[in-house]
Amino acid sequence: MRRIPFHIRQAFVYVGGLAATICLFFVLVSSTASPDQLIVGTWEEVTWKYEKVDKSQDDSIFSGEEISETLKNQIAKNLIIHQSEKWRFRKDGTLQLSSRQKPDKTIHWTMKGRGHVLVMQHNQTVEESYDIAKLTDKELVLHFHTQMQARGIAKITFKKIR
Amino acid sequence: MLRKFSNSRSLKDNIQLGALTAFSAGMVNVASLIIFFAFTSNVTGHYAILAEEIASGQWYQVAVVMGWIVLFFTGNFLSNFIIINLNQKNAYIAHSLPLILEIGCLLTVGIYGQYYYQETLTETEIMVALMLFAMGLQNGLTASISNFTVKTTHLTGLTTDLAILFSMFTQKKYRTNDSLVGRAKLLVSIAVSYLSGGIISGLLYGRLQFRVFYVVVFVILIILAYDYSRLRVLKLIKSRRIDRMRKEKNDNITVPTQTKQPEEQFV
Repeated sequence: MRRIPFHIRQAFVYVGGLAATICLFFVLVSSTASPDQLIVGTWEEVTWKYEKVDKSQDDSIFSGEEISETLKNQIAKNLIIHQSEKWRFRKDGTLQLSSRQKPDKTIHWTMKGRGHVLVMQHNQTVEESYDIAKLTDKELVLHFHTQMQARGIAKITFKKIR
Repeated sequence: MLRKFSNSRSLKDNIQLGALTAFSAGMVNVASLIIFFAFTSNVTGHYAILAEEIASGQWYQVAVVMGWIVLFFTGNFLSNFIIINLNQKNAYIAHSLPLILEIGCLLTVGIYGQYYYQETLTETEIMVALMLFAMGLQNGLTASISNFTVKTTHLTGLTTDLAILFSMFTQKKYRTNDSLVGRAKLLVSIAVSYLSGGIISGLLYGRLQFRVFYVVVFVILIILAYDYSRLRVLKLIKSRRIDRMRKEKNDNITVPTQTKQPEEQFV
């Protein structure tokens, strides 16, 4: 039996390796929805938490790790997301923030990196970015850094309602 | 910078190449971090992220990060493939082709970003992939032609080498070793250039936005043009030398006839 020449075998290995990588890529990409598809829908805020709590501060405003309404309002005072209870992400890149106390606000959202950063833009001037710590079809967890009384990363958890 | 290969390269060649390519890599990395929230000149972090995404079962992100790493690998592969296959025919073309491809990738990112970018996740992922491919091309080129001495897109190994060298320099016998001192100069110049590129990119981005990539392209063009102009000068010098040698040869041949002429005239 004639042996296949070395250079042809070598070419097979290279082309085969490349084809296998491309196939694996497409299988993985098509097996799950991308983050920008997963996030579309209406999300409801469940909790605001800090990873670390500054115990030396006035304990009355802390309830364990969970952030009280007072502190939440203080933290969110300069943020776009101020006091929003429902977040509706639309496919066209708009995000409607609904709150009981204030009128609805519509801002622009995009995702960066590998879909791990959520960027929000209001009036093309204010821009905020949040780390997406978890995104499934049921739960969304956002992290952001704050200089407020409690140290570390603030964590907002949402559940999908629609 | 680009003409010489492997061991025939001088320290000056390596410093020039290392400094300019590290400067462009620093610029690209910071620009991509600001615009796309992703590193594009190094893949160590991407390996860690890949492992993390696999562990958490985020298969879409696994595919994306794997694709980025594969493209960085492909850039390095293609760069060296071009060099080892074209080096015998024309060293300058073999060494400049990866940079021309890199320019193509960065121009695509710059032009697309400036005129067509809609900020979708797919666009972001593709542009990060293009930049990683471009950085792979650059890193493969510099490492290949410098016999693995110059690596300009990531500083982990460089910082390690530099720390080892500096600890060696605590002893006089190493401080007086020209080869080690030269290596330290090279590493410091790469680190400083990479950092400078990053700072300048960060400062320029506010004004130029995606046009910052044109500045990177300009820096790479300097590398290409420097060697091209050197080549032209060398060619000119060589042709003049050949002309002079020919002239001298002709003069030597014609000397007897010239000496005869007066005699003949005299006769």
